[in-house]
Amino acid sequence: MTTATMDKSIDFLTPNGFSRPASFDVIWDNILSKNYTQSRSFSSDITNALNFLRKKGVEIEDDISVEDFLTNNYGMLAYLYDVPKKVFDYFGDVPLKFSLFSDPDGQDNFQQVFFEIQTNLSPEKANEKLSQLNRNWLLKIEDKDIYSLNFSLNFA
Amino acid sequence: MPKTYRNPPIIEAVCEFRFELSGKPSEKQIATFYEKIKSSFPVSKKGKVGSIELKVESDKSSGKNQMTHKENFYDFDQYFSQDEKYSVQLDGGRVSIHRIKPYISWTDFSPLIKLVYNSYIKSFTPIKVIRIGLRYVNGINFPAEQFIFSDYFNVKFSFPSLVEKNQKSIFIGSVFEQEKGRDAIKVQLVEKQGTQVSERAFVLDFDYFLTTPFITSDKVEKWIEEAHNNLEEVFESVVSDKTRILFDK
Repeated sequence: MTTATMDKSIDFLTPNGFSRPASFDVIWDNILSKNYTQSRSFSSDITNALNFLRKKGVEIEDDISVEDFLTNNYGMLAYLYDVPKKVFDYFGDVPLKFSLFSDPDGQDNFQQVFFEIQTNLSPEKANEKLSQLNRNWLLKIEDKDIYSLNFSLNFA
Repeated sequence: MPKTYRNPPIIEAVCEFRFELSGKPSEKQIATFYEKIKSSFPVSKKGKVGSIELKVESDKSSGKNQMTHKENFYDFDQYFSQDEKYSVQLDGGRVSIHRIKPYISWTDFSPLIKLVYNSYIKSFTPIKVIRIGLRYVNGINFPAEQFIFSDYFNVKFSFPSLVEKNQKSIFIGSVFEQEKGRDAIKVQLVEKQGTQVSERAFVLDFDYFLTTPFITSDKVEKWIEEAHNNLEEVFESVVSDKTRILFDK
């Protein structure tokens, strides 16, 4: 067991355990002089949104493909920030996985992203909760950027 | 004459301006700005940025660490071209123009930068330009089999006791002064850790920016052209001929 003692406050901008280069990027940006702050790009915004999800406990599967998808579906990014809270409101503090589904044989290289909700509720109860989540939030959003965002259930 | 490739590796190109304003932009100013760029950016959307700040502080009385957790969000305006490949982000004193893959050319991109810049100046009348940045994020994939870094990049770094062909992940970055300290270029070369074992995927990221806010608004267009020329020169010097072949396939 390791015990860390700190005598001054520390901002943990990047939690431990990130294997992505983005974490080095964030650290480097923080230690550089303010004059060298970088231009904000889609990739920085996407990294930021995915880091937000990670900090909420969401597991990102194949993050390189997810990042590529979000670059081309940038309008969806704003909604990703709302997802953990919406799911937790209906399902409690459950594990969430964010991944990309591609069908290379489908029309126009069909792709969608999924939040997989792991639940120990009964299938009936979980489906009811998911319908409520869809009806009360997702389907109310009149924005085509959200059409490629879906939820699925994984029964623990 | 800018160099063009059949398959440019550019994932995203961004030109970002940060200005000092006399106050918070009004709805009227934002509407005036949008009216000026609307024909090129007809799709309007709200963007959102969020962060979670985790702070660990020691409680002097108990001697234990306490963690606090704060979520911060804010919205900004964004405007997209019809095909959503070009976009503008407007965020108070910050405005940026983005192009995502497939990048066409500088000749295609720069008039939009100038349109957005001039529209911003006329609509918000900023006090001064604080920062200008021109950033190109490139994604380059190579076959993993017998991959040797120095075959593809003219970048020198080594760890004498370690063997180059055994290198499994790379993260290199540096900031260089340009134009006698007026500008700087931040270069990053990162290997992405993907799931495709048959490929090595690299992100080569160049951010060229103004470091000293002494530029007058009539010199901005000239600065952007110089920045692009300097960036192009750096890019061409970093990639080897073997890599360049991939861009023309």
